[in-house]
Amino acid sequence: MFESRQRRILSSLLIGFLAVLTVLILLLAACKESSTTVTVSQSEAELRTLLKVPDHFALPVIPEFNRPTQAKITLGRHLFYDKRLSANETQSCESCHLQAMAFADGVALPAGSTGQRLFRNSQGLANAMYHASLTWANDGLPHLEDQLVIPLRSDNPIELGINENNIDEIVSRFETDPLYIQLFADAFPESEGGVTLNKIIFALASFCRTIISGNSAYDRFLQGDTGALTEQQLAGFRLFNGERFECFHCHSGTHFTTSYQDNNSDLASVQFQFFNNGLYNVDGEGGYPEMDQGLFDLTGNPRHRGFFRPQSLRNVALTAPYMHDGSIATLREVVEHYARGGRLIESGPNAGDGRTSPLKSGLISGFQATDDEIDAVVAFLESLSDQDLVTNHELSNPFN
Amino acid sequence: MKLSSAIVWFSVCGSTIVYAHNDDRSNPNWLSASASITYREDRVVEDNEAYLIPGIMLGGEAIPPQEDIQYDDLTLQFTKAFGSNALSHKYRISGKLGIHQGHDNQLELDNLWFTLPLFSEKKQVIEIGLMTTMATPTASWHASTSDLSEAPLMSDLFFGRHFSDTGVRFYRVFDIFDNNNENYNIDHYFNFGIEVWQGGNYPATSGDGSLVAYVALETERALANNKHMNGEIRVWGLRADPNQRRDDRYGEGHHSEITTLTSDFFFSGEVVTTGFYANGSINVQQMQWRLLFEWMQQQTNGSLDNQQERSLYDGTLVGYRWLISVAHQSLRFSVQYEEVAIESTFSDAVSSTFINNSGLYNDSHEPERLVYSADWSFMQDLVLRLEYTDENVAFSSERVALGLIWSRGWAL
Repeated sequence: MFESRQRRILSSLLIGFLAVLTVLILLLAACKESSTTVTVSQSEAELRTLLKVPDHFALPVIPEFNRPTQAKITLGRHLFYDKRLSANETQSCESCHLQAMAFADGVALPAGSTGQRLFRNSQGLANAMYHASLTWANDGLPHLEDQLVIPLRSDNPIELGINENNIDEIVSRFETDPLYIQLFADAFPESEGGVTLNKIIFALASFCRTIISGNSAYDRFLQGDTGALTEQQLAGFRLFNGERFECFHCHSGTHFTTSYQDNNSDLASVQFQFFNNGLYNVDGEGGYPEMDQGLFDLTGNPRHRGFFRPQSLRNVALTAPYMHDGSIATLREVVEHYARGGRLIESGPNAGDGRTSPLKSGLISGFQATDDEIDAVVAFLESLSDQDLVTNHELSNPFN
Repeated sequence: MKLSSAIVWFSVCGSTIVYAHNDDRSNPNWLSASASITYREDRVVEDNEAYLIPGIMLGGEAIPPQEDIQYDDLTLQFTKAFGSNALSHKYRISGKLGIHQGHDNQLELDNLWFTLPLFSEKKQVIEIGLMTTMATPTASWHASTSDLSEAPLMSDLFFGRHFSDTGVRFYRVFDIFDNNNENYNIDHYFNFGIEVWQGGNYPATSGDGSLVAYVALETERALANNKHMNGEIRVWGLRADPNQRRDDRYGEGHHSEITTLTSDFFFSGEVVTTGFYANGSINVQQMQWRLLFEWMQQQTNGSLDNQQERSLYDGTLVGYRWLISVAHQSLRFSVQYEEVAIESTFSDAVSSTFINNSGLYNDSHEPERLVYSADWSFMQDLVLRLEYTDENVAFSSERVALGLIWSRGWAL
């Protein structure tokens, strides 16, 4: 009798438990709706607005010691275009970074303010702050503030020519100018001192962070405008990202370079990418001309000869000539160089076959390509040109 | 819409049927083999397209259904008991070999494990080896041994279709009620288990481990007048800490070249999955009615990166499915409906490009699938299966499938 009752109770409990659980779960399941939320903090939103970072870019790295303000950006813009920043007042930053050329200069190797020829081609500055490291071959310059010291103070080669002997004079040019007195005061309201080289650097860096290129035909394509690229450009895009041309291995992501960092990057995993691309092989062992051997000149490691950073390809059609020494004149020749798997120089002091360089990246193995295919890749690269960048009044010379 | 049409359909067709499934595992020594081949009139993903379900990461073997004739799987399973040292105390070795769709026709060792009863009772057991989880049968799905030819969404999305990993399981069985006489036989079992895995199965990553705990309640009633009913409820949880787990993109042919650029997304963080599984059947007047209901929720909390950009990512995946079948003699009709909802949050000033390319932006899309199936066991060991599927998972799709299943078991 007891067992029978116990059995009935237990069975009822089990069935009841099952029924209640099922109903609860059904209710839970029915209540859920799909959604995606993107949370943006107020400071992030303000920074994006200030720098005019498009939504399809992450925020750039901003060092805590130099948070940008509109006043710093305005001051930096004036300094960028002011030739009084060079010792002999003949050059400004703009001398090698012209807005019409996507902030490059169109020459193979520019000359500094004293006329001394520089070792390296001027890079375009658009989106420079997204590179993991700055300059052609230096893994110790993660911020614009670090890099800016070089053009200002380098003595071999001399660029703007600031040194310990003339720095006071250069600073005084701005300390006595009413315009700059006001601009510096606005930019550094907490500071009691006058003009310093650090303030100049911080303002220039803040302005450079606004040199953003994000409205090319490719950007519009990226944001859903499927008609933004021509059929030829789309064909080039596919080749660019295909395993035959393999361009994307070194020129990947939104900014077309593996040397990348942004505000969210895990610093431990940021990669400082440098490659030997077979441009030279002067000694049969992968050597480059002695004048400039890339990362080797910094590290002394023979394996680093010819190691240079893969450049962002944004606005690349506006920044000829190409390579670290400007030794390739056109985009078509660049693609042909990679198709060959290295450059052959048959005579002269730099003679050698880059294709056989033992230091060349394994990704540059050469490929077969038709003229039409090369044209398509070049057409795609041309789609990365941003006319807004080269006409944006806010980036132009404020003295004009 | 699909749900209501399924209910109407089932009301009309529910007066059919039985289906014989020989799966006598009471003998501890057995060998079984099964195979499934299916023809589908349409595919879900075109050549060079990636199988992207908005808002959902994939892994394991969660491949999309393919067009034309495809073998689904071929499996060979065995269990061998040995070393008896008490009346019912035996060690066992069990294994499973299989060829699965999407594995380049390679024969693989899916499972190989040892069962070690503790003490002199079979009710406390340790199993060790390459196994599947006991959390839910949905975790390890095979077309040749399942109701339908396509894996449930929950199998694909929560477990990567086939859970197979190296680990250790301890489980304990309690007879909470056992009453047998000449008129009826009623058994209730309570069973709980803990599993520790090496991490080789989605959603974990190899070497980073995962942990499963489950409780199950099973009941079986055999009544005198040939009535029989049984039921099973399982509640379980899984915790995994994947590290740089790739969000796999599947498609027919090679990845499209455009997709290749943006498909390298990796997740690191914590994944906690919980689930409820209820399955019951009853035989009434030579018809077997069966109802299955399952619910799962997966909380994903961590970071997502594509080797350049990175974002904090929180996601909640909730899914449920129910399956009703009725069988009579050699025929069985089934209908299954399943639906998944996704809530996801990105933070950390991430770019819209990153979100779009990740495939994890979900604009109120709730993947759902409705399947009608008819099985005919027309010869011993052979079953013909006809299915109609209406889904909106990655894309909207309707397709008809015709399949053949062979299965056989042998006592060793």
